[in-house]
Amino acid sequence: MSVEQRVFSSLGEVCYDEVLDWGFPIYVIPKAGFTRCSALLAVSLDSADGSEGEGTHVKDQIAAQVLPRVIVEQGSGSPFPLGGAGVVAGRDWTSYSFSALDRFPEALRALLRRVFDPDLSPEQVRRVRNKLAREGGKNGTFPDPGSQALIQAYRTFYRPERMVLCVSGGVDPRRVFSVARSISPPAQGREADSPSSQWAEAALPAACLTLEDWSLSFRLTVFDPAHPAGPLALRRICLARLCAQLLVGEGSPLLHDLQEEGLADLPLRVRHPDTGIPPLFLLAGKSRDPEALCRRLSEAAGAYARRLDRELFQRIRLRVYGRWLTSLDAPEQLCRQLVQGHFGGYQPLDFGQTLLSLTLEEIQAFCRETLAPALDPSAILISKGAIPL
Amino acid sequence: MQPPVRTMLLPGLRLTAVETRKFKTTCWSIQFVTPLEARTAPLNDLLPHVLRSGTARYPDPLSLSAALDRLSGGVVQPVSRQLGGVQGSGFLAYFPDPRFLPDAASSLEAQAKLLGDLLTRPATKNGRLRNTSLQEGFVQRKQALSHSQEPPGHYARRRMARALCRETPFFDPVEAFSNMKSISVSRLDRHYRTLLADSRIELFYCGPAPADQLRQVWTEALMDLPRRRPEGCPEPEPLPLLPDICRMTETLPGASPQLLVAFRAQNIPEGIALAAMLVSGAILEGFSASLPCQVHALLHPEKGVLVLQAEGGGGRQAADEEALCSLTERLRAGEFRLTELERARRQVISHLLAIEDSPQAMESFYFRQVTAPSLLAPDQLGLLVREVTAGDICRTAAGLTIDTIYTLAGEEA
Repeated sequence: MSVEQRVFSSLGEVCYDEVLDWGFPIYVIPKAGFTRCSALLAVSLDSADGSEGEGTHVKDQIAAQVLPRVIVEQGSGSPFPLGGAGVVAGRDWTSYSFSALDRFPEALRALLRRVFDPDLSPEQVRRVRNKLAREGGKNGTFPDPGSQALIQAYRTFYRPERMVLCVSGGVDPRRVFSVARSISPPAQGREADSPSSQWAEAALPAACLTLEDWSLSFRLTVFDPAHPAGPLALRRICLARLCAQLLVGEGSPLLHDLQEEGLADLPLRVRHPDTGIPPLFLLAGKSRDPEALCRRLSEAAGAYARRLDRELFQRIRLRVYGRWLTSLDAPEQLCRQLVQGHFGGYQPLDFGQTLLSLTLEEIQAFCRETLAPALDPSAILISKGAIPL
Repeated sequence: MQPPVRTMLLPGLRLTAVETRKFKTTCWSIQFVTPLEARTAPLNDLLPHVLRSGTARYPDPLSLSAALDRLSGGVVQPVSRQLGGVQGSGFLAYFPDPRFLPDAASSLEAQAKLLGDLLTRPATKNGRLRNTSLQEGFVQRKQALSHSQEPPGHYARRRMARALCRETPFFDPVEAFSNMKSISVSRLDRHYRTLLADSRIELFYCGPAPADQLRQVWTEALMDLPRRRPEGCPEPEPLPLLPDICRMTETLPGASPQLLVAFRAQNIPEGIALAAMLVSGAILEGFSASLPCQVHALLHPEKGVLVLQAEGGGGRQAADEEALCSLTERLRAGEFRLTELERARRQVISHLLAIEDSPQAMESFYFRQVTAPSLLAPDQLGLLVREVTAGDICRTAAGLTIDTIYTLAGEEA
């Protein structure tokens, strides 16, 4: 395979990508004049066994929670001595990331070796459990799944086609590809069976409301019934972000009213999904009555579906564009966007052009079809029924 | 990236500008810079949150938000911070660079006009700040303080700062917030008018516009600013020499143990002395590989203070304290290898150059020099770091004396 290059002249960016001959995809966006360089190695956790529960697409808990800890805690001392490294066990992917100020290639090699050739022996698992328990007390512990289960989870999920490496910052792309080519593919992953099936679509609710604690913090998740891939997915993401700003972004009349009535705190946090496949739209915050808040959200989406002022639409679109543009200055954020794009099947640097091509009618249709009906209280699931509203 | 330019626009109104085409974001800050005093510190702290609620032209949050949208999603945040004996309060703002915007949707003039209006032309009622703005300001300030739970390490650093400034002015907004509620509109308005006329105003810009253009834009944006006799700011001073070491111990259930030791230098470090102190901190961090805990070195050049913070560890107070103090003894005695010195120099230089990777980090870096007589860019400081010798390190360490020891225990003894 050879390195592909795509130039985004209006953004002053170039994206290089290559899929190594053993199926491992790599993206690099160099940033001229930068000292810092960031890398993010992501492993998709899309369900491999089709299991579902509680109305969300449940990931393999061993792969999501235990494996990353065992992998990152190998060896002695700091896992990545050349730069602050982190592992995040997300809902949709596990990410291993670090930023380095110098000797980036050495740090990258260390990261790839650790993830591609981990020690999953019972002794290693025991050692990591003891270490975490010692450092973090009860919070640091995790159940021992057994070494075989761990190896099985690794074989299932840590396969080249389920992984992606994204790099951005002050680095020569040739050095990144050179380091990646020098690493052997994951030893245990190549012989494993393919993931068996997609998660069951029928089990997905349109919206899921989780009450996290007694102070009525809530999280609203809206799933995209269309769950498309490729450029269409990017278009849906643009629509969702624009709608989120329109409905509850800074200065929105609805947010103002909700705050006045004590139905929402300041600020509501609009979150976006990890991968670009459902969920599409997430909202988190505190409210004395989350159900009422969702009703109002749904009503507002319905109102915009009927009538949306063109000046408001253009203004909010410009806001989303501008904030996305400024996010391109941070290598860590660029890496995340590249991972989202890879798993969603689109090029994230196309976000701006896609956003600017959205029409008012599309926004109205999105509000009507995705948000207005989905936020009907009948579609809201309360996962902790014991907590009174 | 061009070297920073500092220029006076009006009496007491100074611009620091870094011209660069590296980013897609332009970063601004505009703030009143005043001596830190117990009487006025809460007013200064609250003021930007009150001003952020509206300008004469955009008197409510909705219209102000719409104005920011028309500047392509600009973000303006109230900021209040202290640096040694001075306090800065005003706004930090980010705007997308017009070069990358469709139809050049934002302009330098419009950005300056909006920021200038926020600081100098607030929404008023009967000629003074509105009570609704004050109430909104309280809410916003509270939100900013309670937005996220403070990690034990941050809490310990905040408490250490309080202990260090036991004989000098200090302001902790978390402690002071409950008293801020007694601030009246008339008192805040009077203070604000005084600031407008008499205080120093510092403006910072990092973006593609040249300094000449900025001068012109800002002179026009603030031409009717009512300036009287802007006062200067106190020069940085080292902490007063106190006879006894201050010891402070607190308990925070569930927190990981923290031990902080503050060393006071004899003078405020400048030039090569500042570079040597930075490298000394990095060597001390490297020494901690031999300890059971992670050690961070935190430098407060404006006070001439180096703090070593040990997180985790065995929780054995005396032993941990001795281990931390022995690290500086090793420095003083020159017990470090040249490879350790070189590694530390490289680490500090990398961190300094990384500041130039973020407009926000640049703003913060130059704010820390607000009272300095001349400016030093990160790469210029990096050149000084390159020249630091083993002898400089030993001399730096020899000048350090223990000032304060702070302990945060995780469990009730």
